[in-house]
Order: sequence, then structure tokens, then C-alpha cells
Amino acid sequence: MAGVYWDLQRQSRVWFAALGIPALAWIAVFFFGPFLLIVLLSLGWQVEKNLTEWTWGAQFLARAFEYPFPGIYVQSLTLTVTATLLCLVMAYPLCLLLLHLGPRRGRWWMLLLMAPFLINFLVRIYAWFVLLRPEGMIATGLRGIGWNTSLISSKEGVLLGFVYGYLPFMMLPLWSVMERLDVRIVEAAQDLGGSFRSVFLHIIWPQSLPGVAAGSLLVAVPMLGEYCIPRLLGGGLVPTVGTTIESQFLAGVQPDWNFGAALAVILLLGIGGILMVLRKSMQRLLELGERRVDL
Amino acid sequence: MNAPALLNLQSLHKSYGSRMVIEDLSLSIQHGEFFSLLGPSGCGKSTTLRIIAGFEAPDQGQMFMSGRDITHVPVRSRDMNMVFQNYALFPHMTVFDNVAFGLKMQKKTTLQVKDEVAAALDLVQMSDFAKRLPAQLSGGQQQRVALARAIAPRPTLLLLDEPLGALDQKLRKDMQGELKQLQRRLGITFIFVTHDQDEAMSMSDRLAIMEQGKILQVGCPADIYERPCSREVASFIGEANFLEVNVVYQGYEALATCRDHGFSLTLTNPQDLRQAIRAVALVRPEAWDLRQRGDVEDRRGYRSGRIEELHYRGREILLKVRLGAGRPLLVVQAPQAWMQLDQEVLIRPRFERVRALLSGG
Amino acid sequence: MKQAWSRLFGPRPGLFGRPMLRFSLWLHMGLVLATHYVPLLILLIYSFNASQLALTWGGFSLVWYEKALSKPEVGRAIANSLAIAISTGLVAAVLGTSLALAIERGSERIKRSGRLLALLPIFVPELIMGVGLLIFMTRVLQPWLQPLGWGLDSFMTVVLGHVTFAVSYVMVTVRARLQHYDRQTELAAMDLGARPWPLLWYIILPQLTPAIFAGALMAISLSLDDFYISYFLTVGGSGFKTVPLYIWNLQGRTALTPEINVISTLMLTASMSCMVIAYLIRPPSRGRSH
Repeated sequence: MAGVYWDLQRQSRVWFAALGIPALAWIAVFFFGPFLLIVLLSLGWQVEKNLTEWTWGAQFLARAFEYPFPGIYVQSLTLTVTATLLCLVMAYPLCLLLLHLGPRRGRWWMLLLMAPFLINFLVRIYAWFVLLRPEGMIATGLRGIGWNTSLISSKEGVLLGFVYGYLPFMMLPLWSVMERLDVRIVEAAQDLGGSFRSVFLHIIWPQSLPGVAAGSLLVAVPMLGEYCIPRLLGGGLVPTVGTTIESQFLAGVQPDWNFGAALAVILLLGIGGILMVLRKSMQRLLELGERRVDL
Repeated sequence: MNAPALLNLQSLHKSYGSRMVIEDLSLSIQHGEFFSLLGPSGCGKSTTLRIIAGFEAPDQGQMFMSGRDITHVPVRSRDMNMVFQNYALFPHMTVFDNVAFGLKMQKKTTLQVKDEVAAALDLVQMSDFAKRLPAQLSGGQQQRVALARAIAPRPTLLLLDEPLGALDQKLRKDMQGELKQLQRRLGITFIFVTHDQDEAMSMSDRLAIMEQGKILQVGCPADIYERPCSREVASFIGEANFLEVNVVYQGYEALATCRDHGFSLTLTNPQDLRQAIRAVALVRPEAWDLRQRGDVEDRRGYRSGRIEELHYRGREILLKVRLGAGRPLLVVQAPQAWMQLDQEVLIRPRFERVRALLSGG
Repeated sequence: MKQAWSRLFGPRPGLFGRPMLRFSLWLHMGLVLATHYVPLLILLIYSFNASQLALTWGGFSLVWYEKALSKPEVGRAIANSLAIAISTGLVAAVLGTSLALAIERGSERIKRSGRLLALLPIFVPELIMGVGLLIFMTRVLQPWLQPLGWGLDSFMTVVLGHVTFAVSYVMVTVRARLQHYDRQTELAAMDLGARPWPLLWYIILPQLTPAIFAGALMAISLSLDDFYISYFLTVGGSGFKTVPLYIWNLQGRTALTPEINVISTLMLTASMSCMVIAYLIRPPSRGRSH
């Protein structure tokens, strides 16, 4: 738009752009720096030694594919996928109900649903930890009716934790999309004699797909790197990528930073891959985000 | 026009992408005049104003102010201020702080600022509102504050971008008068952008008619109204009757005969016609001599017709008189009792000499 | 009466006409809400339990509160969390706002990279951030920090970590407002002679205050909530704790006292009050007079 001539506002543009330098420098150092270090470590950077004494190579990355790690990846992946699907199954009917309630009443129920998530994440997971412990209410109750299980230290417990913790991340994008659903189209379809099932299948579901994709993305990606929930509710019996990485850095448990970094790199590549495949959803998220955050 | 102009625009061009918004625009604005840019929406008048102000850069062309080339000068260094269409008052500052802003930027002392703000508010009669916030003011009041804010730093040039657009009719008329008075008092040159022709005509010393990025005509209101240079200008300002005429040249004179209705006219501007044998004669609605059928003794020059439509406007009445084939004639007169629908009438041009325009031009 | 009944439970016009459908949807909502709130309520209630055992109700008492609050570690953890959070809020607010301004008022190229930057923290697992920062702090910064007397897992390093991912959240918040407020006020200010700095200080920033405030609050709550970064930075085992870290450490204990409940309830109350206060003292979006 500036045409051939010098942009009269150029001076101020440069000035404002310069404002961002401290922030960009900060991010470059404290955000990308660590990334760089992780990659270097995974490639064999021996931190104590000098540069020339490095044992370069892909041996750490290679080890990440040996037993028992692929199994762990598979477990992480299955947990994540299952949890994402569960989140979807739990969130979708809620959105349908909100659709039924309309904007005014729907907002209150949404608030009610979202309110607990303002509370500290750890506290929420802890609440379930307390309940699920062998001494906790649920286990005792289950034992009472003869079902001798403990949900702690089990995959089911971890799944529960995942779904409970990440539900709002599925709800928000999904609802974002669904509340923009053109009610008139739905009513028109109904008018033409559609039952709920057909209207849902042919109109609501297809139109909600972008929200489904966005929500799944927002839920699955962080889940892959989760450490807290598998550790707390899985009690060490449910190893995931996250817990494995952590154990490599934990002092006193045979730490192997290079290997941990290699695992981290693999995790990042995995996430990067998913994002590549679902690039469109990511763009949509960007737009949704920009429209939503308005004061 | 021998005095050096205050502002000189030379061959400005501006396009947004493939759309040409301003094309080869040149304009001269004199010291102390109230100048208007008039045109329909999208004609480029606001863009021109923004270029003058410095918010946009022209693709080609230059701008001079008092002889200095200001084409590349940043907004803040130009000796002119703008009154925005939506006022753009700073919502977080009081009226006083708003008006004081320009003075603060000029690094005036607190005492000077206080005095000059008081003077500016006094000029727009908003002295009592100094401590209020913009949100607490009505539209008209906000507009005055915007005006005071722009005037306080005593710029040489004031730019107004359709400032009265959001006001209701009565308020608008009042403000028009006040603006005109203000301009005379301050002696600042005003450049006023509007699409309302009554407004432009009543307030301006000179105006420019714009359409599709080009200036059609520049002149004082009387010039534009009585001597429009083209059909576009003539139909844009006021109402007009365009009579197709055949032209015959006799020496320096040009005689025209109306093709549809047979009126005989002498043309005032044969030099503009370049020997064309067909032209369009301009007859303004108030330039007809309209009589009741039986009222006239000597019927020479009159044609008979019938009142087809009438619109009562209080101090005048607009009539459409049908003479036969072709379009009905627009007539504006002082209302008289006999003017009724279907009334048979006699009509002829009041002036023998009328202005002609080239057909289609 | 029958009318009300049938209106509530009978078939209705509209897509969700079938009562069975409505019923199941409401049931689902009820269950989800129960799973949300019941654990928290139980946590709350049992923090007042006089008995140590989680199952029996020994009567209402505040004994565990006394015990928990009298521990110095608790007080220290709370103080740490608050100090870190507020510092994060301040630094992230400044950096995030300046970044938003650079993106919105700077050149086109910066705008595109800015959008990408905004999304990055969401898609990078906090675990990786924590690990990366650990490596960064120990291997790169420590040699520099040592002479300054700052330990690895001290206040400073945690704040550094928190700010890094909070900046993006602040930036997005401020940028949204920057895009949608009346830009003509900026043009008017420039027209009246304002250079970039006065423009920023007198015109832009005052109008951005609600957004900056909201962004800072978000940064503060992200910091209070943070587990991963503080965890990894303290893996070296010094005693530095934030409240989430303290809670985490309680799981290892064999004798589980309702202390957990107490801390959790306190955190709950703190978060809720923060939100309520933030809502109440929210500056009017219309701006204020000087």
C-alpha cells in the first residue's frame, strides 16, 4: 500500500519494531536456547568435557528405539489417543446441551463447568489422588462390594486423570465452533422432517469437525508430554515418555542427560509430526484465538 | 489569485492495489479561505484530505505549503491539524487534557497551556465542561471539543473530515453557522470535506467538486452553480433541466433551438462549444416563467403544458411540467394557490441567454 | 401443574424435542459436574476432619490447619510462590506488551512471525521446557551465576523460566486489544505533534491498561500453577519450594495426614479469591481520567 514513495510513517514503524527487541532477545535466549541444548545433548554433547572431546553420534537416539522404549511410546500414544477420544465423548454431549440451552442460559452452565479449572492443576489432580488411594473412599467403597481394585497405580487411573485434567481444553475450542453454528440451518433441516439423528449426522457433526480437530490437537499434544498425572496416579507402574524423560534427569536415579535429551527430541519430533499433519487446525486455532480474546 | 497560495497540490496520484483512488489531482488553496471538497462517497475526497494531513503518501505528485515541499514531512511536523469524522477524542483524558495535548506537544509551559486551553474552549463554548470525560458528552459537544483540540495549537491550516456527519439536522445547521463564524474570527484556512452540497455551498468561499478521483471543477459557489463546466457538475449541484438543442452560429453569437419543446435561446458561451451543432442547454428550475393558462396576454415564446407532479417545500414548490414527449421540466417557484395537479400552464425560459454544455460532456 | 410438568419433561418442539434425549444430555451434564466438584468438595470437607483417617469423620476441627500453618516450610513455600508469581507478572507484562506493540505497529514481517510466536508455548510440552531450562541453567548460566551468589534453583532462575512462557500469553491478550481499539486516537495524537514516545506513554498505554492488567493476571496464575519448571529447576535438591512443589512432595510420605487437604483447600481459596478480586477491581474498559 505504500507505493513507490517512502512510507511517511516509517520512522515510527521502526521505533515500534525496536520496542520488541528485548522481548525477542529474551525468547531467543531462554526459549530457543534450551531447545538448542536439548538437541546438542541428544547428539552426544558431553557437558563436562571440552568441545574436542565429544563423543558425537547418534548412539543416544539409537538407544531410544531399543527395548523397552518403543513399548513405552506405544503406551504413551495409546493413552493419549484414548484419553483424547474420551475427552471428545465427554465434551460433545455437553456442547449439544449448551446448544439446546441457547446463548443466555448456556453461558451460565459453561461458567459452572469451567470454574473448577481456575484452581491449581495440581490440587485438582490431588483431589482425585486422595480419592483413588487404596485408603481412599472409592477403593474402600469398591472393596465393599467385592471389587478388589485400586485405581491408583493403574492405567485406568491415569486415563481418569487425563480426561479430568484436560476436558476444558477440549470444551473450549469445540464450543467456540459449535456456538457459531447457524441455528437457522439446523431449524431448516428439522423443518424438512429430519430426526435428531439425521440432523446430527448430516449437519451438526460435519460443521463441528474443525472444533473437534482443534480440541483434539489442544488436548493430545500436551498429553504426550505429561509427567505429573502418570506419575501421581500411575504410581510408577505406568511409564510414559514423560516419566521416562524425567527419570533420566532426576538426580540419584542413574541420570543420563544425553539419553533423556534424545527422548525429548523424539517427543518433539512426534509432536511436530502431528502438527504438520494437522496444520489447518492449527491455523484455525490461531484465528479462533484472535477472535476470542477481546476485552 | 496573484497572492501566493498557502497549499499547492500538484498531480497527485494514489491507488490501492489496482484501484485508482486519486488521479492527477492538482489544487491550489489560498490563505484564509474556507475551502470545501465536495463529492459522493468514494470519490477520493477523504483520501485527498488524509494525504494533505500526511497519514498517507501519494504514489506520485508533490505538495507544497507556503512554498516548502511537504510531501515527505511527517504528520506531526506539518503546520496543520485535523478534526476527525468520529472525533477521536482520547477517552482516558478529560476535556481539558484533550485540548491541552497539542500544546503539551509544543512544549508550552503549564501557564501558557492553561490560558490557551481556556481560550480555545471559550471559542467553542465548552468552558464549563473542562473536567468532563468524553464519554459524558453528547455528539455535538464531543465535536466542539475535537474542534477546540485542533485549534488550540494555532495551526495555519485546519482539516475537517465530514465533521458534521453524525449530527442531526438542526444541530448541523447551527454548527455550520458557528464553524463559518469561527473561521472568520480565527483567520485560519479551513479545508472541509463533505458529501452534502447544501453544506458546501453555504459555507465555502471556494469549493472543488470531485468524482472518481478527479476534480471536475473548482470555483466559488456562484461560479459552480451558474457556470458549471460539465453536465456532471451541473447535475451534482442543485437541480437542472438539460434541454437538447440544435445550434446555429451567426458571427459571434450562437442561437439554439430546443429540439423537444421548440424554445429559442441565445447561448452565453459559444466559445465553449467549438462549433458543435448539437449541445445541451442548462436551465435551472428557478429560471422558468410559469403562468396559468388563461393568464397571459401575449403568448409569444410560451409553450403549453400540464403540471404532472408537485412537491410542497414550504417556501417553494417543486413542479414537474409535462410538455409532450421527452422528460418533464423541473420548475421551482414560490407557491401559489393555482398550482394544482393537472393544471394547464404556459411556460418559457425567463432568461433569453442560457449557458450550454457540450452534449455528453 | 400438569402443564408445567409436561413442558419440562414432555416432548417439545425443536431439535431436542425428545424427552429421552434431553434427559440423557442433562444426566451427562450432571455426572460431569459431579466429577468436577465432588472431589474438591470432599477435599474441602475433610480438611476440617478431626480424625486422621480419611474415612471416618471425627468431627469438625481446625487442628490440621494449625499444624499445617505452623510449619515454617509452608509459610516459606507460600511466600516463594507469591513472590515468584508477582515478579513474573511484572516482567512478563512489560515484555509481552512491548512485543505486542512491536508486532502490531511494526512492519509486516514481524507480524507474521509474531503470530507463530504466540502459539509456540501452547504446543511445547512444559516438560520439555523444564528439562531444557534445567540444562540451560546448570550448564550455561551457572558459571555466570555463581559469582553473583545466585544458586541454580533460586528465585531468579524460576522467574526466568516462568517469564519465558508467560510472555506469549500476555502478548496475545494485549495484541487483541491493540487491534480492536480506536486507532484514530493515535492518528489524532500524531497529528497534534506527538512523537513515538509521548504517543506510547500518553495515548496508547493508558488505553491498553485493561488488557495489560488481564495479561499480567494470566501470567501470575500461570506462575502460581506451574509445576514442571519449578520441579526441574530444583531437581538438584536444594530446599527451595513453591506451593505446587510442596504438594507434590507430600505424596511420598507414608503417613498421609489431612495436611494435604489443608494445603489444597488453602490453594483453592486463594485461587478463587484472586479471581474474585481481579473481577471486582477490574478497571473499566472505557479508561479513566488522570
